[in-house]
Amino acid sequence: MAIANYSKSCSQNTPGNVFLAFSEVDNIDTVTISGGEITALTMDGVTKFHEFDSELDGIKVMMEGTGGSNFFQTNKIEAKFAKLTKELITAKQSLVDAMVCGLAAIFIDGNGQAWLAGYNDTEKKRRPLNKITANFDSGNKPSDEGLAQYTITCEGESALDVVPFDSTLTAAIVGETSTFIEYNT
Amino acid sequence: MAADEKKAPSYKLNKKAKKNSVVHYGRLGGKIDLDNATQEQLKFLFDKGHPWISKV
Repeated sequence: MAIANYSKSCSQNTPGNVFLAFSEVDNIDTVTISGGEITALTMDGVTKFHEFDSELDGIKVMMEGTGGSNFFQTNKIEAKFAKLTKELITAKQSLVDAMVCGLAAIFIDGNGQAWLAGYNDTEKKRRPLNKITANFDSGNKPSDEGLAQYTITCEGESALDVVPFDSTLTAAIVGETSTFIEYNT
Repeated sequence: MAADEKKAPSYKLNKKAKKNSVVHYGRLGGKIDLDNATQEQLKFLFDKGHPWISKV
């Protein structure tokens, strides 16, 4: 690939993420890409992405790559969930079970852009998020801020980055009208 | 097949469709160039519920 230009846009950049949803990667049926953006996505049967409500400012997406003649990166999504309940344990276990075949995730970043992780148009479904780590620390006392919550990290190794949704699908995802996501009510 | 091609098309791209779009499917690299999709490919995508394909 020839080296591309990159121009800085003079608009604010807001770190962080505001939304997270997971699906088994095999549930993705077709992904339509136009100009490097996802412009349509269909799911297998009635399957959908499932929203996971994190703590405020509790979703972190990291991409760490290295290479020379070859390049690979780890795409990682870390999210914090509270409090410890049977529902949270069930949700966490559903991710653990799905990890055997791999996960895809949709997240909305602080700039309002929606992204798909665990799938791209080159590797397809072959390099999903396929490793999960879960950590829980109860803390010692009520004033232990930020404890008594599960930190769940899903990650996968890929040659490529997460893929952006186009403005139409991003608007649908942000507006909670996307047909391929089961939102929390 | 030749007789089929003479028939009026049964499936078409609707107004939502964007130019220069490729639909990816399957695990191993299936893809359809929508600008040059055949009727069989459009039917395949219609049956999968693709929002850009309509029945004529």
